Amino acid sequence: MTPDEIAAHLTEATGAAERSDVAHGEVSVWVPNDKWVEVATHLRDCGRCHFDLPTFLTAVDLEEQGFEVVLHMYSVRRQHHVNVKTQLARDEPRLPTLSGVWNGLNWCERETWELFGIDFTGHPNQVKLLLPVEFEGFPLRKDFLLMTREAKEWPGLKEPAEVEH
Amino acid sequence: MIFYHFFSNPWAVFALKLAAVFIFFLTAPLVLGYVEHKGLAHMQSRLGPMEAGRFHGWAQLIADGVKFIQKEDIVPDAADRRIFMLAPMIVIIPVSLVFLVIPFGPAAVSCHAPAGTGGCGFWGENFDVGIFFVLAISAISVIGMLMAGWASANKFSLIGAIRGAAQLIAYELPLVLAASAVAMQAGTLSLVGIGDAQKAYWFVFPQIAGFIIFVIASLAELSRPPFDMPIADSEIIFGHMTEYTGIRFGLFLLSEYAGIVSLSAIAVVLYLGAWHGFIVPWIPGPIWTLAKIGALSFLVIWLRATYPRLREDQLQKMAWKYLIPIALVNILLTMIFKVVF
Amino acid sequence: MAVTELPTAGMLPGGPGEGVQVVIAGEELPTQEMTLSIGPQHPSTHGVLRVVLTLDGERIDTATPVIGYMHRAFDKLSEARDYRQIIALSNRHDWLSAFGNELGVALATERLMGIEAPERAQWIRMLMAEWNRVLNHLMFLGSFGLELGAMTPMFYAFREREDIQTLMEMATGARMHFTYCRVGGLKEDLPKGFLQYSEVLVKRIRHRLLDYEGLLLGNEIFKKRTVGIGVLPGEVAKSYGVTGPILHASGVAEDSRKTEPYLKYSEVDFEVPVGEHGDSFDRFNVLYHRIEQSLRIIEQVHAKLPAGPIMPGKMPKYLKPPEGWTYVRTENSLGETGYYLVSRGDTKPWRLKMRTPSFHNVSMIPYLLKGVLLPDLIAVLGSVFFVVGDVDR
Repeated sequence: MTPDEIAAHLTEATGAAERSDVAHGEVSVWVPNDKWVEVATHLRDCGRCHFDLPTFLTAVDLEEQGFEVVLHMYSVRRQHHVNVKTQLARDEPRLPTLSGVWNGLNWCERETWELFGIDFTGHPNQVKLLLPVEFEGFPLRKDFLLMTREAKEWPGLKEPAEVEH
Repeated sequence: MIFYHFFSNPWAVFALKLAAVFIFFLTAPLVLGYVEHKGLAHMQSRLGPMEAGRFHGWAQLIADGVKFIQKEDIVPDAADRRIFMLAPMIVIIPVSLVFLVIPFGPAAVSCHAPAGTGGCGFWGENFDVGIFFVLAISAISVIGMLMAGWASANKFSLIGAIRGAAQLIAYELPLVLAASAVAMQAGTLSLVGIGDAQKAYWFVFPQIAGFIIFVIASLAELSRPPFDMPIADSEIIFGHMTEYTGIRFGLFLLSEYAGIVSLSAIAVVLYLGAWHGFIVPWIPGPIWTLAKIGALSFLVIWLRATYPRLREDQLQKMAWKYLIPIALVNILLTMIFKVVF
Repeated sequence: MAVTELPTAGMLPGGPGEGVQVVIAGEELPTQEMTLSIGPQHPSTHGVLRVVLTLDGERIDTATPVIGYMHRAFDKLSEARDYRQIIALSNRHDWLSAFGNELGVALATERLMGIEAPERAQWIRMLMAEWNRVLNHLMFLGSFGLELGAMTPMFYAFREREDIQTLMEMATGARMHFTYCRVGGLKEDLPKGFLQYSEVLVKRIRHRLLDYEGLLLGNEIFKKRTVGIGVLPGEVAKSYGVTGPILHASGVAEDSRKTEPYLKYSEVDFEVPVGEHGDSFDRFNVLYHRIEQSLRIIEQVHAKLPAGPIMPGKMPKYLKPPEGWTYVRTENSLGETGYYLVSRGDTKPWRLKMRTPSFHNVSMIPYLLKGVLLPDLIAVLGSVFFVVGDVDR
């Protein structure tokens, strides 16, 4: 399916697509939080979509608009992509887990949980993956500052194009 | 005359033989270790040691030995201290004892040695049951291995030691069965007698199946590739030797190389005609023996460069399903051969 | 194993209540599971991966990979660097396929900015990417043998790698972290003599690959250790997000060089080798044949390499991709390396998510390790090709 067809199909089949956006040959479809699992399951099971390879799951910090969780999927048989996105509120972001839909998302969700502080409810093993157990804070949030860079700006930032900066 | 008197003194002969065996026990593994360093290196398109001793690193293993002695002898806190420290000796002593009975040359034609000194010839001792002595004594090492593995208080060591014990139990049987076929063929249990019996033809020809079994079983008993599961470095670090440092670790390594030499020597005596040469028979017997031991040891090194490691259960399967039945059939055939001819 | 119900015990004579219970020794002897921690310092994990095992004898009950020892926050760092610097950052996490990593960053930035690299630069990129793939695969060919106890292939592999690194050094000045890509093109053109040496190397390596075939692929013991070990069905592989040679070995020929050709992959002729059973042997076999295919591509690049510039005539002074997002996937040596790039029109990316193949490959390990023997752990771990830096980022 072409990117536009995927967006249309999602709107039609699940009635979940809030909006969609096609950029550089790939489609993004925004869905509400409560339809997250339903949409992902549909994309996996539906014969026309047949998304069988979860590529990655991550989040983007949108600052005051909260977080955007991105799930990228690929279909080996149909050879098309989709980015399913959903927006979460900034305080206590929470989303149902997809680790039951795809095994491969287990670690992705653990990673997203520890780096963004997004709670995946129902996750079987939501513990620190990359960071040490005693680490505090969510490093990929924009308000988590790189302390060394606060004390002294990265000198390499200033050359060569930005000398006047 | 003084010379004669000297050799008629049993204690002097005893001391001399002991010294000779001890020196051989210390030097042969070093030479073999050096050959392994260089041989493996050249098989793998690299140089190996080049610095120690200037000429192609000939002194590398001596330097290693000095290093081992200097290093701190660490005993882990959780280890069973006395057993941990005793284990390397238990491993190395049986290996050294094997050299006592290996005959390197024929018996002297006129022998003036008094009774009880083992006769005259290039050997330490001529036991009537020499073949059983070597096979029995070389199996004692595994006790040291188990002691080391258990006393180290390390899981990797324990797994290694258990694997080593399992391997020994599986391989001692084919080894003994193959060797007993040779004893039947020669009609004697004495190693010197077996050597003498190969004057007409080497036993490797009638006993080819036995020889192959013997070599495979020896490799397994030595934990050498492709049967080095007890010390498989990529799985269980270094098996029972994981926690050892310094000279105790050095003793383990020494016993490994001494083990190669001793089992090669036994195989040479049993199958490869001991001191009997061919084409150029005027070369003295001991040199023939040494050359054959060297060739067989080199084969062991060569295998290390060639083969990956088997799995423990595959090894056990091979021993019980193939080697032991073949060895039994081999004994049966030898029996028929002896009766018919 | 817990003590279950005792078998009907025979009572020795002595009257009711005072008899001695006779327990038939055997199954009911209690055994205890052993926890074994492989790594983070262990000879066979090539890197600091830790696998916590529970063992029943030598059989593995559960295996839990513990990662993060080399985590260096690539995602966070790249939010504080400009795009040129990210290229230098990105080629360090997977130190065995440095060029493939930086290529992805360059492609993602170019796509957002609407730049296309000149023809010659694209061909050279492809050439370098394929040489890098050979470099990477040789490493795994050697180390897998070493883990199974065959030490010679490792040294042979390093001999070949040495030659290729010399070649790469001619063009890039570096032996591992090339930093040869630039947004828009390449750092500089190929030096004199590069192509000649490259042609010589293709022939030499193709000839020397026969050694590996003899030492490993055709070796009985090697087959015994790998055939039927760690079988990964294609469906399971896909559900874990596994890509690259491991997925190919499971019979799924998904290769973005074929399905969504980037650079000039649509103009060269090559095949994607696939396995049948998805066991350790197949994975190794696929890796071996991928080298042959890469050499084929390299030969075609030699023949087709056009003349021309290696950077677009006019590049903006500031690299400021317009607001937007894109996901660029490249078939890196170990699988799909992708960059999800979100830009807000700044010199630095707003968010750069690096999707690495090793991360997903390692997340699949517990599936493969369930119920195998401890020695097979090595045969499985060695054939699930991963670089720890690529797992942890």
